[in-house]
Amino acid sequence: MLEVRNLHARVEGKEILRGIDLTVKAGEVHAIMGPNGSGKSTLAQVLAGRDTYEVTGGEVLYKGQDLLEMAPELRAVEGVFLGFQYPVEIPGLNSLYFLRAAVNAARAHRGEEELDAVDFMALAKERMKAVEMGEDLLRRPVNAGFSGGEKKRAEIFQMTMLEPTLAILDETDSGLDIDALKVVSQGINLFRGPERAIILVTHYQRLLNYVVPDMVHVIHNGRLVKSGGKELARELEDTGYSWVEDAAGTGTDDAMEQPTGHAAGREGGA
Amino acid sequence: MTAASAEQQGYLEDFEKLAARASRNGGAWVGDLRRRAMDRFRSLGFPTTRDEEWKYTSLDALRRACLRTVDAPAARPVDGSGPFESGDWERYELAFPWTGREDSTGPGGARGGATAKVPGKGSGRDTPDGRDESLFIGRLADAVERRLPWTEAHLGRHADHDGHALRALNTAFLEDGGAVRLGRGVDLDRPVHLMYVADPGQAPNRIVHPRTLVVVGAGSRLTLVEAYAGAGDAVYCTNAVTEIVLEDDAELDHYRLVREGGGTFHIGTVQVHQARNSRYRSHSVTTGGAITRVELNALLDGEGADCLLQGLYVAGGSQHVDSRTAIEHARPHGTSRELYKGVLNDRARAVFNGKIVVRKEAQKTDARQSNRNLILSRDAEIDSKPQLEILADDVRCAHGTTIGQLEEDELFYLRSRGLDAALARKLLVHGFASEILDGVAIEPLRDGLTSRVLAELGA
Ligand SMILES: Nc1ncnc2c1ncn2[C@@H]1O[C@H](COP(=O)(O)OP(=O)(O)OP(=O)(O)O)[C@@H](O)[C@H]1O
Ligand SMILES: [Mg+2]
Repeated sequence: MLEVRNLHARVEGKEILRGIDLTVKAGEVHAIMGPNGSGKSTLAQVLAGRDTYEVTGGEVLYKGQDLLEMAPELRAVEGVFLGFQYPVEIPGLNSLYFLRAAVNAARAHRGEEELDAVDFMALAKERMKAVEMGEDLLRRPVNAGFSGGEKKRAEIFQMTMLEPTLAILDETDSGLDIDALKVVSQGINLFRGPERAIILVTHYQRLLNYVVPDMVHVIHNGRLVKSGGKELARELEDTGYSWVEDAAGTGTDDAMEQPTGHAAGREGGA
Repeated sequence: MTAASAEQQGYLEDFEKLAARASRNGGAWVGDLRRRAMDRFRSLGFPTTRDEEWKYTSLDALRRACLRTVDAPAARPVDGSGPFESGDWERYELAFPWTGREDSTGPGGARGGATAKVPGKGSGRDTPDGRDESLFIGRLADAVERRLPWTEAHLGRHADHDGHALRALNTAFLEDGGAVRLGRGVDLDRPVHLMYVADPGQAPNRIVHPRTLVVVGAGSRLTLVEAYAGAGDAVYCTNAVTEIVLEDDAELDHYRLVREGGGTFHIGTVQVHQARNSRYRSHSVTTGGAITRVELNALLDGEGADCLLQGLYVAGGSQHVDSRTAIEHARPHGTSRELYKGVLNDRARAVFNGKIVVRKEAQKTDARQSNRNLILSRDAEIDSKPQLEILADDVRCAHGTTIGQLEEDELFYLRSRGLDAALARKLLVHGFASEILDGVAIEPLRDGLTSRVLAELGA
């Protein structure tokens, strides 16, 4: 579904992604973990089409198409969803209106009829229940004054409304209390399916207890320096990231373990 | 007296015609008022950008255009829908369609033909003796002609024309417009809608001087919608003055809506006089027009008076829109809140000047003012200037100005959800404007204004 090859990106002259390789197949859940500032959000935003990041090399194929050529809105209606680490507050923009416009943009793109206000409301109520989100939140402007946890819940709710094929969730678990984490995880698990793929950016093993990943990748300094199964996350919980710094300190790409599995056989570094 | 300039000549001629025609109507005081005002206009002349008050707004084009005065509103039935997307809401309606056609004079020289849908009992039409002071909703020309005492008591007494050429000009030509008088303790069951409609395509190069007088008696409540609408790109000028008097404990919600045609000058003054514990809420929405200048002056002349000014101006192309407000706290315990927002596109230019005066005796005044601007184009420009004159020592007074662009973060967030860039921009602009538009309590009017604002921005 997604093939990232040797992706380089920079912002304000600073190189942040320095050769990312990642292959995600339909039905899979990949977790990406790594220290603060290692480039996780940058990767997520580049995949969603944020143009403040300049892609300086590499390519990304999504369902066989050149993703980097597509405008953000086209990526969205083609089924790419980014759950933001910091969802934006937009005072003055009605949540219901916004979300209906988003849902209908995707429907129009698929050649489906638009949902009217009544049908939309019925769907929204059902999906809100699934993530135990209070209806009053929808009556407020987009994310306006939402608590940290409410914002994350709202992102998952939007995901379930938009029914994307590829969901990239950037620290959707951060800031959630224990109960909320369970609810959000449930939401993600419900969403899982053979036709869909998920990339979870997270700092915590906790989420991965609920949403069990097929693959875990460690990102450091703009590169995926290690990949493994779900046990890698537990390992990291014990050891932290100090070892990756050591590994990176050796300075050669060969010293790092190549991402395994789908990326095998390709160059890991620049 | 200084000799009239060539540009003033047409105004003088038109004035003499009016003076001859209108001398029979009303008391002698009206004629005197007009003539004094005309003398002031003669000696003041049109303001130039050398005048501090007009530094950013040039009326040179208006001066050179030598517009001729349309002498009275033409008769035309009102179908109720109106030109202002005003929608379907219960109201008393008065329409003043100025078309500038020669046939605008009715039989026997009777002026006007402003059409009215006003309450039967006590309306301007149904109480010919004018003694029922509890309610008058009608034409100013009628009220003056019938010598209703509140006209002489207030007309021309609040909006200063001594130092202001355009107000002087309006006063010199004052003849008709909306007049509303509520006596004591009247809670009018629906809004009064005054529609000033220009159709310059019929006769361009004209100027009209709508005059509105609103007197809300002690403890009474009124919602007033004062709308100016024009069409087409012909050169035209609306030069309006509105005087509003709020007696003790009176309340007024005032919507002043401007949607002029592309070639129009719109110069307007709203002068508000507030007595003790009165509440004035203004919602001003301005779109269209080539050059627009609206001045809103409120004098809080009674203890505990409360004043809220909300404004939205939207301009694109090469439009120029100038909003000037002055709130004068003259008595203690007054509060004022002001929020003006602007959205500017293309090469549009906006001016905001917000003055707050707190007189020495106006202790415990609480005044806050804010002006926020959204600039959608590199070539748009705003000059925003707060002006505080605080003479009392025990007051709270705050002001702030912001000038910003659409937030990149917000745009990306919306696009990442599948909304195309144009729709995302439109929603964000609407979000910005909605803080003001949401204050419009008449829902169909709010919807109409919202679509108007978005259409104005090509969104
Ligand atoms: N717009 C920007 N301007 C300058 N530097 C930026 C910008 N965006 C990101 N960076 C820098 O790029 C690096 C990677 O940032 P990124 O947000 O991708 O990290 P992250 O892995 O998501 O970290 P965290 O775990 O803290 O969320 C950081 O050093 C950050 O300061
Ligand atoms: Mg991050």
